[in-house]
Amino acid sequence: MSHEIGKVLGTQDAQPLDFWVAVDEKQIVQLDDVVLVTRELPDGRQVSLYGIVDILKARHEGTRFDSDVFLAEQGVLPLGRSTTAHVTVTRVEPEIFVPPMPGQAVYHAAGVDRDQALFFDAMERKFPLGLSRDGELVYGNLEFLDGSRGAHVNISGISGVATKTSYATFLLYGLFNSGVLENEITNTHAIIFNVKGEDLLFLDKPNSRRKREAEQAYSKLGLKPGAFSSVAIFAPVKRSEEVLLPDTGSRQDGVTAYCWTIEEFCRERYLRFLFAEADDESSQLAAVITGVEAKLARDDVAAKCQNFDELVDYISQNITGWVAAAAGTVAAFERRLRAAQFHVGHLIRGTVQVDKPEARRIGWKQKQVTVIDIHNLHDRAKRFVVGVVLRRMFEDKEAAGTARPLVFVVLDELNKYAPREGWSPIKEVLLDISERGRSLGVVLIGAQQTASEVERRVVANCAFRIVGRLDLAEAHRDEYRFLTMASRARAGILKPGSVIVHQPEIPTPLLVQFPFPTWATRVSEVAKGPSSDPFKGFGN
Amino acid sequence: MRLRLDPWPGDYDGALQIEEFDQTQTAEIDTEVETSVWAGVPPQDRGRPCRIVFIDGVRRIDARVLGESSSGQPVYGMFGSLAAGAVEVEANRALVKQVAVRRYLILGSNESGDAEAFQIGNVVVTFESYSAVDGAPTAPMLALQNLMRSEEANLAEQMEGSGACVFADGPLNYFSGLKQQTIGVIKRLYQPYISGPQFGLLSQLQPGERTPVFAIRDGKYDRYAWYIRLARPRPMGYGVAGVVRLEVRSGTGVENAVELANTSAACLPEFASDSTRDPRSPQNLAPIGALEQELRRRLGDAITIRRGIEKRLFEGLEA
Repeated sequence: MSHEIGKVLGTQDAQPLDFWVAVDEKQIVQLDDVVLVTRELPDGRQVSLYGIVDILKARHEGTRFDSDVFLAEQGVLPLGRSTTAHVTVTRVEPEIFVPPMPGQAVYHAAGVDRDQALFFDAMERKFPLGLSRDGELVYGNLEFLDGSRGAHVNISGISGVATKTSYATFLLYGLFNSGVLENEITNTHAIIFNVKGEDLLFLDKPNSRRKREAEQAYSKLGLKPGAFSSVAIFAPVKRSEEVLLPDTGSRQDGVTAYCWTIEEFCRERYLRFLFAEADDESSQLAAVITGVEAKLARDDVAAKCQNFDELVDYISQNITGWVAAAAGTVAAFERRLRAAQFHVGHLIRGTVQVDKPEARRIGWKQKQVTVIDIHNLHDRAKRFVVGVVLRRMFEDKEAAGTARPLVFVVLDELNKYAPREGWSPIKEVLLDISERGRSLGVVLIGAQQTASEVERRVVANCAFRIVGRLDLAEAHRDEYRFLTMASRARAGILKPGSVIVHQPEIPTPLLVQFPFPTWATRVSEVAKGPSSDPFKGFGN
Repeated sequence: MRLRLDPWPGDYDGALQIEEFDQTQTAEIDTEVETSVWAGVPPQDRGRPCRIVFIDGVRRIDARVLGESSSGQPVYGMFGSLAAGAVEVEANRALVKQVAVRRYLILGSNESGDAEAFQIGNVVVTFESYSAVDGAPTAPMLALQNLMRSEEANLAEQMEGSGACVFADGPLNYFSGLKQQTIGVIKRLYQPYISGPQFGLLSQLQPGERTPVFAIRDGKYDRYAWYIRLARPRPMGYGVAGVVRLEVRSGTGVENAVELANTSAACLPEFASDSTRDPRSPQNLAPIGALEQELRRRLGDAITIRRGIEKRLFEGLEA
């Protein structure tokens, strides 16, 4: 249980919200340790101050010169050694803000004390965020995720250290498997956009190479190691193929190729998402787009076009009659439309080519988790897919008008979709989700390399702020004000599998570790079950 | 006349306090106990003893007090604190050990008060009662000094009993036993003991070099002594700068004394302080300097204690 690690020291000011501890030389204290000190007031009341160690210092005492260390090591100069720890207070119970007194014993908080220190005792519904450095559980308060008091998660971190999407999927796994969602679980959904590689295409396959430590970590977190149980995978149709095959390399079975029909494109007014680059902001252009959309929605000829090229030609021929705009604006519109035609055209097929349009549509309600692969697409096409899917989902939720069941949306490279500068239809959708998603049960788990490049309001609306390894210059930007100086420096050296989490109730960001996925992240990790033998059954 | 610098700062008395050479000696001096040739003895290449102990003490007047005797004479007194401690050097570790802090209420004129104990902060501070025979205003201070020296002597005896090579601060007049091997280190030279020409050798000593061992026989504290240079003086420094006198009680025997002289010459220069670290360098040895600092710290904050005494005396008025 809680044991004494040292005493509040009196050579530096002890304050109600932070103080220094002289560490007993026989004790081990490390960063992120949770500590507790209790002060008795003159009137007999007890005040407990809980906190987290965020700075540790060791130094020689009784000396002024740096080179005295050599004399001390030669045995010439007797010098003391001291270790001191700085504690940032996370909680004061009851809320009487008095400083701890020098000389008071400081304890390493364990068990109930630790839960108190980190507000876990007050969280009615909590989900696992990971494990602390000393292997203890760290929880998040579901009320700040599900919209009741806050929502959304934002993850920052440089790419290539397998942190952002890994952690996002880990969070989902915890939410879906820890039982925290109780009976809402059956109707709760997640939409994950796979933006890089094909590592999210195997969420439903157990990882054959998972290690025992990972399994132990999952058990400690109260989770059964395994894979996501209900997963639908959608990939874009292959370009230049009449047959609608998913454009994926490492996995074909169980992957649905998605595309839209021209008829749907016109009727649902998806044209605007072809113009989803931030630089397309121009009121004249926006007016042209809206005008063309309106015409297309009611135009039977357009809906019957054989392919997207035909539709583009049809629009070009008729545009001057549809909208009244300056020749320059019309030319700008056409130029952008032609550019989109090349990159996105294959995703919008003639109605007769698609025998069962419903089957090609991305149905995010079919399974618990829907993975939408966009990694092979051009940026324009990525924006189109993200924009269309999110808008449809959001409109569905708006029509339902209730905050339950929840939909989690995992979107990496948020800076592409909601950049800080400029305006685009996707940014509008994302802003809508950030600002109104809370009341509609849409939770955005956004990720990006640098939060400073993402629209402020999108980041500001996130209750949970998470950073993986950061570029140090980035870590000093205003977007990371929630990090303490110490955690800012540490963000530069975080290992894969470690993140710093800030949540509204806990005033200090916490370093948490999350275990390696127990679902496959590449084809080589997919467990080969007996049923995977294609020749099975031919034997006799 | 060429002038040379005394390197110690003006706040301290100079290290050389000799008034004149060849004044009539109260003690008999024999400079031929080790060798008949009066010349520098170069240091031997030998390692440090495995355990070396340095002993020192500090004292402080916390408050002077005045009383009146039954006959109406002024009685001089003081609240004083002292601390004695040891630095033990073993291999390459130097540690402060055995710190003793004592506090006294000393009254002169053979008067004695009651021990005073009162709360300062969360500690009860006790000043033991001590009586000095003399009635002079300086008597309480001298008594405190003697008490400190006795405390140092006790500690030295105790440490020597454990088999260490012990260096104590100052002359050995307080050491009760006669066979002790504790070496006294005298930083400030008041008496040359040897003749002027012989003293001239001191200016020529190289670091680590020593004079031959000589005997000082005054019938009370017979000793063997030798001078040793700890460090090379700066070019403008005076010739004897950086030289200390060491002594052991004669009871240890001349052979043992020579052995100790060789040991000290081999190991002491290593412990010499340098001018950036200690104003009284090199004579105030580095472990001694650090020990003094630690002992002063252990005496407690002077102002806090003085306030405590003031409060106590004020309460005495009300009572």
